[in-house]
Amino acid sequence: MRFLLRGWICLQLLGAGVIVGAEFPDAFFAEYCFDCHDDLTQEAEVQLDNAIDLDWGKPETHHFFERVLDVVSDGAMPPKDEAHRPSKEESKALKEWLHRELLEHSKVGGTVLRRLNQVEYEKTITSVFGFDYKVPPGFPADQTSHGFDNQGEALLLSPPLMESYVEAAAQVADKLFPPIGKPVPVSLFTAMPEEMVISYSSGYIIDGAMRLASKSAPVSRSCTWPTKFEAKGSGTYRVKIDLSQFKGIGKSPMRLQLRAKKVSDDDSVDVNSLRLLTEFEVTEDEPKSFEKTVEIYAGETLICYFANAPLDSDRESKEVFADYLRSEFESKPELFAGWLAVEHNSGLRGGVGWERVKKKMASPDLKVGEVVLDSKEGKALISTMLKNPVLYVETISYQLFEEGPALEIHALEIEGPFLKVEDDEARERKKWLERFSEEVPLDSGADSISAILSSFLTKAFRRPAEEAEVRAYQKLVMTHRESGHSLEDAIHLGIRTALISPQFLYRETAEGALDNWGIASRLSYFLINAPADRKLLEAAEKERLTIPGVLEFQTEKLLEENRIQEFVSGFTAQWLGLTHLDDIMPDPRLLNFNDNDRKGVIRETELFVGEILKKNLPLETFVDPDFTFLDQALAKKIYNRKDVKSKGFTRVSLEPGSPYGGIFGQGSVMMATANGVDTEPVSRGVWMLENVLGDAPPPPPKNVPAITPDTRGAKTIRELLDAHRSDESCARCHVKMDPLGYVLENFDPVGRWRTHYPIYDKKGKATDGPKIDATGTMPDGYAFTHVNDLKRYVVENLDQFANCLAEKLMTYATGRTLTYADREAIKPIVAANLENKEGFRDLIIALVGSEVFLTK
Amino acid sequence: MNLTETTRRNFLRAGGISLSLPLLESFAPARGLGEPGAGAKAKRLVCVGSFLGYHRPAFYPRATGSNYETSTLLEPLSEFRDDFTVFSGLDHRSGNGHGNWENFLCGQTIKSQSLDQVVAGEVGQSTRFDSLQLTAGKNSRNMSYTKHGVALPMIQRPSVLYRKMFASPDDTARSAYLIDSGQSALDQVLADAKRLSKNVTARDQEKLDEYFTSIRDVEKRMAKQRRALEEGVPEVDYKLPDYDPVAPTLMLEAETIMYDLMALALQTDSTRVITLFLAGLGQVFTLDGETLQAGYHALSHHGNDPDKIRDLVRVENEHMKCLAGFLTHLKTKTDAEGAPLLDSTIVLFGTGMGDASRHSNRDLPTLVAGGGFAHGSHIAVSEDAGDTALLGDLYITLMQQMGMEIDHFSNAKSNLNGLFS
Repeated sequence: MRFLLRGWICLQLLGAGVIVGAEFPDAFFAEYCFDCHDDLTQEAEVQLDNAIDLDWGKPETHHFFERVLDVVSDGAMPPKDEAHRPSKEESKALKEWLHRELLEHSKVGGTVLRRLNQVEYEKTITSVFGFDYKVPPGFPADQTSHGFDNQGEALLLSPPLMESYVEAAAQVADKLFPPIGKPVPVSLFTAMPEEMVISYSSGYIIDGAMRLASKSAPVSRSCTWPTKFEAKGSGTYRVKIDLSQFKGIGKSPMRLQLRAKKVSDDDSVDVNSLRLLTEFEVTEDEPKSFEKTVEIYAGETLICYFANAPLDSDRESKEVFADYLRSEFESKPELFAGWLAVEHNSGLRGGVGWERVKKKMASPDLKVGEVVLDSKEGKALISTMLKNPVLYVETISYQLFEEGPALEIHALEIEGPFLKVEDDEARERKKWLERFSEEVPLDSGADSISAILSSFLTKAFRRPAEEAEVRAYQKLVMTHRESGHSLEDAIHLGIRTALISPQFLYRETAEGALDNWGIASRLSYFLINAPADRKLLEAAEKERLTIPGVLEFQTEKLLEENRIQEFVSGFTAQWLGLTHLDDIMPDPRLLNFNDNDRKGVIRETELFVGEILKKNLPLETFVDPDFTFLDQALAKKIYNRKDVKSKGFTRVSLEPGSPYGGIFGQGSVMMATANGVDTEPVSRGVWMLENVLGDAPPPPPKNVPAITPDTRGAKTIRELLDAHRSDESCARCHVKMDPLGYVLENFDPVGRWRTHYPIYDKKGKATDGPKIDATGTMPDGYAFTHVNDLKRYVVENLDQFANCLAEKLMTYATGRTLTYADREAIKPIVAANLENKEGFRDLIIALVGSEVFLTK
Repeated sequence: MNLTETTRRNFLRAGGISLSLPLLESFAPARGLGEPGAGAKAKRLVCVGSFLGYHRPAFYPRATGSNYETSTLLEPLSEFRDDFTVFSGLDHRSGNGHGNWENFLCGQTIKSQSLDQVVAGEVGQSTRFDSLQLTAGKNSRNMSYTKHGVALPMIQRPSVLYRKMFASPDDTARSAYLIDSGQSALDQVLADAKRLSKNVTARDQEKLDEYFTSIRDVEKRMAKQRRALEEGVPEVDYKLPDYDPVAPTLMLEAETIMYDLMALALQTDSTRVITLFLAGLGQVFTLDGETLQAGYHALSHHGNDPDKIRDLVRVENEHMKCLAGFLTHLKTKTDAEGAPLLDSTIVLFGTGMGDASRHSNRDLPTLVAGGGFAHGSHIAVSEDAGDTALLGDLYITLMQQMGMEIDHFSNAKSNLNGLFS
């Protein structure tokens, strides 16, 4: 190896260059690099004196030389301030040498066995059996690499995961062939109000009755249910409930709905999605018994819901809440005055909050009627309350519990099961079984079993089952049958075996160029996260996917408008790092942020990327578009736009020169690259390099302390960072990261435009602190003063962004860290896309046809 | 160790410079380092983590050392005063927010092997279950991670835990059937994997090795379970309620039952490592007949509102009472040698969140009971005053107490043996 490298190139003596002869590149390294990078110095943990002895069989060697090529190419090394630098020709020769070595030693392809990740696993089971499948809670989570959760190297198969697979396989088989349970005896269950759930401010017990006052959609915010009831068997149950109204709601009766919810399902589920069992109309102030026989399934409990309650904290019902508040405040001046007097914007919550309001109302200093509803203060109060209905409904609920109107539950009785009923699952099961056996009669004949197994294994392994495989599984099933177990048990065993087979759990097993089945599978998981559908399989079966045009056609099929959601949300969230949003809770002083806002910002980005795909727009649209997608709430909350009136998301145009729009002008990304409280220019800079410019910096050297934002506002982040950059080894990378981060500083941690850093007083009120300085200069001299300069910069260097995007797409599609050869193979495709002014969809289709995609 | 705050600081800053803790190792008594666990003072580890933490002013005693006046939250533990030590000021120097709660047992990096799993790797082999992961209430976060960064699922239903440990005959028959027939399933997939391995590259072979290892591990576990079923599961005289306390408002009841079952699990030597997660979502508790006026999570965001703090501390006080119940079990139940379980069981009671109101994960309230340590004091550390002791240092001390030869954990490379032994 050493000999080969040494003899590689003979350089002519050129200009001031001194490096010639057989000693290249060792002599180059010795001349220009060893001062800082020999075995003694090893600056930045880089050592070059043994470089040419490195083993190309190791991936680290490739990463190492690619890094060397990167720093030499962008002129960062040898350092500019170094007196003794190589000539242009010498640098060029080194780059050429590195390029050739890298190309020679890397090849296209090399994805390792890819385990199905959680989503793929779920969708594969769904596709094999026809029922919606989700892994049980607590299922071990997947590991990610490059931000993607479908990378072969990262997806480990650990013992606890295998154990979970074994359990899940049995549960899946149980769904088709459930174990026979014992009959459940009839029993009587009673619950008094104190044995019923109160969650958040969903109810309160006064005078021995559970009072309800809210109709908010999440069960946990409006409903009550018996704490100790869970149906042991599916059957008919007699339900008796004692109800009364506490101060009616005008002419209409109060409606109490009973709905069925699985105990193990999340309590925050939308009540309207639960099966309605019955509804009672309550018109009297005295308790009255209501009785009804209903069907409850095993594992379910009985949810009590006040369906026409006066309060509603759902964002969609903001108008209802606004009307409620206005009419309350108009008719109750003391209440209005009490709310004005209390510190209503500092997180009043629950009964404690209501006590505060009452105290103000009882105070002799209360100024009733001084301020009218239509005044500035009045409007401000209502608008504060509307900003976070959840919080204020929690408080007002207690007013209603005390004063009415509220619905009262006095007692609940449940008796059963009387008649065994076929629950939803039992009805569905017939369909699943038909699908599973594919019209072959489920009997013990060897032919039937072989036919059933053959079609099942073909679906499960996502390619035609081999004869030997079918024989082996048939033997397994028959042996079990012959040892005295039922046919159902025997097939149950066949199913749970196949579902833990490596043929099911892994994909892309064969080496080299993918065959038709491999192409169908990779394409399908890439674009719809699931195994190939019938049409794609047919094409694979006829071995047509390798015929020019057919693959393109099939790709277009999968990119049809109504099918792109899986790809758009899966790829976008992981490429842009939006998966972090789940863990970010913005500082309440900054913004009253709720889950709908979280969904909203993600929705904007997904719709935006979806639009580029659907309309096949050019790649620069990602960076500098003249449109985005907003609804009224998001437009107001993040972008300070009052002209968007639509309740649902709609395409809206951006004014020329708007800082918003594009992947780095959206709330989602700005939120995901901050920490909820402060902005972190370094994180944003790294994000830009990794996800937009395709120039990921190496991880920070060990033992570098993190920068703690100075929340007291005494120092700007820039001052802190400048101090950090005075360290030369830090400066190397920060010289690129920092300007990219600074120029985004005008976006606060939730993506709103700002001109100053905030300083908070003790009560959490913000005043303007230091002015934001978004200026910065890239190492190539390009100067930024505003985010629009950054957009221009990226558009002017569009090939850099386009290559980065293409690499991300192929990383996601192939499940591997792209090799040097992979990346070189992508470059001409990207160049052609830009040259011919093609769109995003064109890029995906072209990439799917590339060797990079078609090689394991 | 009965140092007052000032003398302890002086001790740490001997010579006017901040003395880093690694040096303390040399002060620590030499430990017998023979077979792992053999002759160790502690044999079992229980880690309890509360999602919303504890209101620190109510948790920490004002004074340090052993003559402290008890705090509101330590009051329910009064009778065990000499059986536990309370620590203030320790943390992992990790990030803030609910997401970073998971650092509690992981140290500075989420998904790195958690303390309980490090210990289970050492002491878990000889018992039916290497370790058990439990939660009272719905767990919104993970607590235990394997060395591969896989989060371990938690059992929320007491009935499930009970069946797992002390299964009824019906369940036993089904479990035995699934295990027995499962063996032929494993044989078949091993054959599938061998066939596959003939045509793969070396790197794919490594991937398949993961598969083989995992299958072998499942086989071992199944054999262990099968043996346990054959030998008969331990019989215990404990009656579960006929409902599962999974409703959010019944969380404290679930917590009590979980502690009861944990004590039984240790007593029957079914496992030696247990974690328990204490959830904290919107549930509104009724305490002593009075229904609180806001949900637990809302209370934790008290914003220094005294009324909310009062109710929050009342809820936290319930956790302390449950803990007292558990310590009572461990004091009265005995191990094979007839000594109280608590003597050889370390109970680590803490949280990954220092102040839920501000989502701060610094200064994590921590308490250690049992395990053969000299207890009875309040040990205070302060980062602001320059102390470098980390919560991970305490974990190292705990592991060493279990006879493990370990000198680092996550970002911690020292121990607290000088302060706590």
